[in-house]
Amino acid sequence: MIEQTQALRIFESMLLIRRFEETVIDLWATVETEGHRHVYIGQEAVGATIMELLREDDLILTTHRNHGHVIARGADPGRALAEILGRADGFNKGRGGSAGLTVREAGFLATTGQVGGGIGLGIGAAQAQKVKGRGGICVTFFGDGGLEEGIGFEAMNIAALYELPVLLVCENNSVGVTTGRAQNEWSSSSMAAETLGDVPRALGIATEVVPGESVTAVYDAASRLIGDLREGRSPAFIEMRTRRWPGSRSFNPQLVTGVTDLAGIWEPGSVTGEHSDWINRYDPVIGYGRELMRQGLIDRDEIRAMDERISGRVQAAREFALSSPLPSAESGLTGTFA
Amino acid sequence: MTRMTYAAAMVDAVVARMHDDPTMTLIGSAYLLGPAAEHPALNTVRERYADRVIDEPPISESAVAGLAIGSAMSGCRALAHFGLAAFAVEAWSQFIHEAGVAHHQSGGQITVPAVFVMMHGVMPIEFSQHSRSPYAMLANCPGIQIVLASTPADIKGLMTTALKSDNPTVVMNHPLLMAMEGEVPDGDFAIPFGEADVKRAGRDVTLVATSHKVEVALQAAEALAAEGVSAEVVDPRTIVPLDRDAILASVRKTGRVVVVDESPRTCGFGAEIGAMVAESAFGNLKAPVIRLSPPDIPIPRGTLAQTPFRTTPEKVVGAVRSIL
Repeated sequence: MIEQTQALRIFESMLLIRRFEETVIDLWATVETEGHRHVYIGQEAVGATIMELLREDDLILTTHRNHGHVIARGADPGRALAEILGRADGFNKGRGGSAGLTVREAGFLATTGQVGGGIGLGIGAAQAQKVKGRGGICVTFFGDGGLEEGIGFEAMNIAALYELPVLLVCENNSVGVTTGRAQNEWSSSSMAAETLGDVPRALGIATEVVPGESVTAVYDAASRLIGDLREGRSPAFIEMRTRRWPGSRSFNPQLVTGVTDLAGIWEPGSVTGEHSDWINRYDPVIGYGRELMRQGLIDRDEIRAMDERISGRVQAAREFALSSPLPSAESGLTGTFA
Repeated sequence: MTRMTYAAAMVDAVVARMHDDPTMTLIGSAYLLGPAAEHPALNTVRERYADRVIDEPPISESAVAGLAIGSAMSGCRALAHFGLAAFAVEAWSQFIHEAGVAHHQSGGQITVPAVFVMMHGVMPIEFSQHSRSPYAMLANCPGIQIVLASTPADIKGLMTTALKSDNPTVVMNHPLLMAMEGEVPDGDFAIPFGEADVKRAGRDVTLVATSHKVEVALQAAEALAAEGVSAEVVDPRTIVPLDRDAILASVRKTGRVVVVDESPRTCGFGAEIGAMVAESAFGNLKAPVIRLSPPDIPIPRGTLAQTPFRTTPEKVVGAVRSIL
């Protein structure tokens, strides 16, 4: 059961991710032209809720679709945005960009754009947590595509054999995608198994398959599995099934759903247009806002005030990032070895 | 000093670091360390530090590498051994995209103190999928240190350095070195990376040799001495970092260079040495650079792998004669 303060923190974190990602897309529409980025719109409930459940000493592996994880973990949005723009004040000094953004001080190990690569690294982080012996765990985020690589199977087998404290979070954002290629969109998941959770189940790994749009469902499954992990029952796997955000594109995500209008929370009738079905049924921010209002945990004015506060933070992050210089070309020639 | 085999000297270094570094994890099939596996000290380590030893993992080189690299990124040192370098090719993505890249790409936030141990070379009774010397392939992927030792003392000193380094390191051993005996310094003994060792001084020709081929080059040098030819044998000991200065200094002195190693010819280690010498010591050369390496052909089994694929002292002597 989610406590009131936790619920509000999760919602605020989700809204921060949403405004952050809308800013990323806007920056590429107005300022930047180079490089591709993968945004987290539609998956906010997963990252925000998992991060709420983690301890400071837990370790995290993530992928090219990392922005939401990094922001939800509490990393400075200004330095994160600077990194996404390849600026000198970014967390990686501009070397990682959108796909490589990592924040070691927040517990992130390598952020890898090598699909599936993090699943292998995660079992190592879990082994390190076991050696340290303080009950820390590792959470490895990867997409449905990550499970198509062979290393995922190898790593899950080893995690199961040696009871390594790793939570494997498979963010399946391909649900409902059938015509990806035709729309210049990422293809849908290409696994023979329809339910990806069937793969870890075959190895005896505790597995949950949940709707990733639902904070409540994510929280219930993840809190139970993480609790088990800390008590030494391990590893665990969650398939977070989210409906693909209509603005997803292979290289240039488009804000086809518009800048999120939070009025959709308290005035469902205000949601109209081509993508109203996605917004009404699958937008986790709108959905969780409605749920919190139903529970009486927040009202319209409080949501507006929260949004204003967050938009101010994101605007400050945007200004910080844009004022940060590009690193000198020579700066990338150093630091191959420690 | 204690007289011991190459394999025992390697285990000596590994065991010492397991004792001294409470964060270190040892991963891999025990017997894959070669004859070293029966070393009693290694068995003691397995028993005393059971939590930090993952024995006989599944045949999953990628994930075994990931286990070591992820541990290392988390602040725990790790050594993974793979048996043959031929098997470790399965783990290439983890080596080159994760271990080799993390420090640079993270802007220095992450370090990867992981060591990967494997055997390379022409395996006498084996077959194409076992006989591999892929260190030039790895040297083409920036961010990974590469060790090729040639004596018991060197493997102890280089392994110790690898296990104290904050950078990922691949250590490739040759099966024909495992039983070699030699004097090995006692206690904590480390050899810095990037420092070549002149195994034999000479003035007429430079033999740049690695791994087991150092022994072959030394035998050739002995035979050449009987003919009045003075050969210098330079062992780089680490391919990355490479002690270019030491190699160039020797070539500037002798004016002739023969590279003796087991990476395949095209884009191999010999090609790098030849290019470097042409770039930086062209005016000192009295003869063309010669590369003695296996041909660009899969290495077949048994007798087929012998003559064409093995560089013998006689071949080295013949090569030197051809450029005198």
